Amino acid sequence: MLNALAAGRRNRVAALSRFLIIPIAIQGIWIWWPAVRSVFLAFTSWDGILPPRFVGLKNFQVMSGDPVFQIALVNNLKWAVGYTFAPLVLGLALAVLLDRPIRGRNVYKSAIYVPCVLSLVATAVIWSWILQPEGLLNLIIHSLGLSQTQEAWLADPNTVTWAIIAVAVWQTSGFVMVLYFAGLQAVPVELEDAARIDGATAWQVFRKITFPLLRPVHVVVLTGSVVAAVKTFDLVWVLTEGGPFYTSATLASYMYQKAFVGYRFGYASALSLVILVISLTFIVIYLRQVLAEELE
Amino acid sequence: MRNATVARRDLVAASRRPLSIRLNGILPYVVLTTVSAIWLVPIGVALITALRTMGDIIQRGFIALPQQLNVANFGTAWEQGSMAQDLLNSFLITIPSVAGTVFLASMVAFALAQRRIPGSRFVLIALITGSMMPPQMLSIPIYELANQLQIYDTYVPLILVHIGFQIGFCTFVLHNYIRTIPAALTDAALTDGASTWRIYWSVILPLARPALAAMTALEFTWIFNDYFWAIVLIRNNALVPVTVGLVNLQGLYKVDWSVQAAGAVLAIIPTLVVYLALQRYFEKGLTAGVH
Repeated sequence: MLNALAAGRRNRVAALSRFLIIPIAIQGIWIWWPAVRSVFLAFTSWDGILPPRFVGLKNFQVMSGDPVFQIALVNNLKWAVGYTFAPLVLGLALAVLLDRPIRGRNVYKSAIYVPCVLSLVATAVIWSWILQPEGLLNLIIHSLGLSQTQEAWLADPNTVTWAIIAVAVWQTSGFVMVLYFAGLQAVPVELEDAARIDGATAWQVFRKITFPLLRPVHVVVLTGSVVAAVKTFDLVWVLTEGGPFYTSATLASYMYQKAFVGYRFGYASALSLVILVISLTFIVIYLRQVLAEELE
Repeated sequence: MRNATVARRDLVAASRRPLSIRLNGILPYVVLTTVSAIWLVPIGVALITALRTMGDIIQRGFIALPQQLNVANFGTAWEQGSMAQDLLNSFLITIPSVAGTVFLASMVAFALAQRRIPGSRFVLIALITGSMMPPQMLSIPIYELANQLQIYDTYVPLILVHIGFQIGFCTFVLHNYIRTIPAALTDAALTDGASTWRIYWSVILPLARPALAAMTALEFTWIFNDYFWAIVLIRNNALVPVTVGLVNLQGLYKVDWSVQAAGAVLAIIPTLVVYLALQRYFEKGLTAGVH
């Protein structure tokens, strides 16, 4: 009897295990194997035709003296700051407003969330006319009397990266807002109420109770945005291809250029390894937050 | 459930609003309306530009309503700009990718949620970590692999990469959902002699329908909007999805913003429709990872 039960359990485990074979095979072949292979390629010189040649640390030595790599690194830092904090502040503020008894809440929410469902390519195409010298943004600035210059936002090395980041902020803020809105629903009303009865002002309640209780959302937004900022590609590539003169290049756009335009696969792999290494800490923090229950 | 919480918060908030808040009760509306309007302007501009001719734009400037509705731009983008073919390609890539992702993820989620397989947790964590890999890092070996298998410039590697990438997040959300299904239901089916497959197919899947719908909606927009993998794995312009097609259109009609705008509008319609139709599932899916 007991033997039969144990056999049944073993059969059950075997049956369940079969559910995992195909998914694990797909991810293994198309994600994990390429990841390992990429680390190897980072230490080679390879043009895609002849076999890769092991060159040790040469790619990283070249990188340390490569001015474009340094520009890209600084630009990714700008992305990490702008793409993280602007949507965080904006998304949190909007979520707090929406958390009040607002009529038409879903209309506001949808309007601000809608850019998130557009492709980054369509977003880039739409904004490319807005940011032209004769585009909508300058028209608005002129009509407000702020300035009369014909600023070429995407052609001026001083403005180009921030202009692209601004487009990304427009695109992503609604997503952050939705995360914070959901987070606010988990904040117990009783706590906020008790503080109010004790005479706390609205700002104090927010500062001392609501904001700290939103910690899980802060962690997910901060780390998730940094990870996304480090690998940012679509907007940069479609709007400027990293130009003018590489001034808006990011690690990802430069990597793509080296790999699929210049066929320098070894150097490009080394660049992509840098992307992974920079994101790794943030990926770990992000996963630890999201998987908190699983990891217990 | 979430709606109930919102309603409760509203009720409590309404009953205890102090005077100062009631006085600036109008302020949130002003802020929200302003931000919403600014947020919608670019999309509105695209729509209006698409309905004007380039001559009209040059003559009367960027901000002006069309004097007469001109739908010729859509025709140009649709045919000469090959947006019709590109949209079709997008669906040919997206539908199998989404179906494969959601189906396979539901199988994994079911198997892991039974908590019987040793190392379940490790499998789940590995799957999710896989979806966090920077795509750039995988692009060269995947390009290489597709070439070696002689499936470069076909949808096969594209679909498999999408599945490999998306399956982690999808499994995670479905796993959390399936775990909330009472074990009594599966146990009852087991005593009735149902096979594992039968329990998955006839008991779990129907119960998980809301979560499956949420994942389908989200994965559709994400995969449909992909650009990077398409340019890495597809070179033949007759096979490209609409994201690549739109960039090609922009190159083809460099000086004609109204055709570009028409192309952009055509390119965003499918995901907009899915979002507007399945809105309530979107939020549930998006926030599933945080709470």
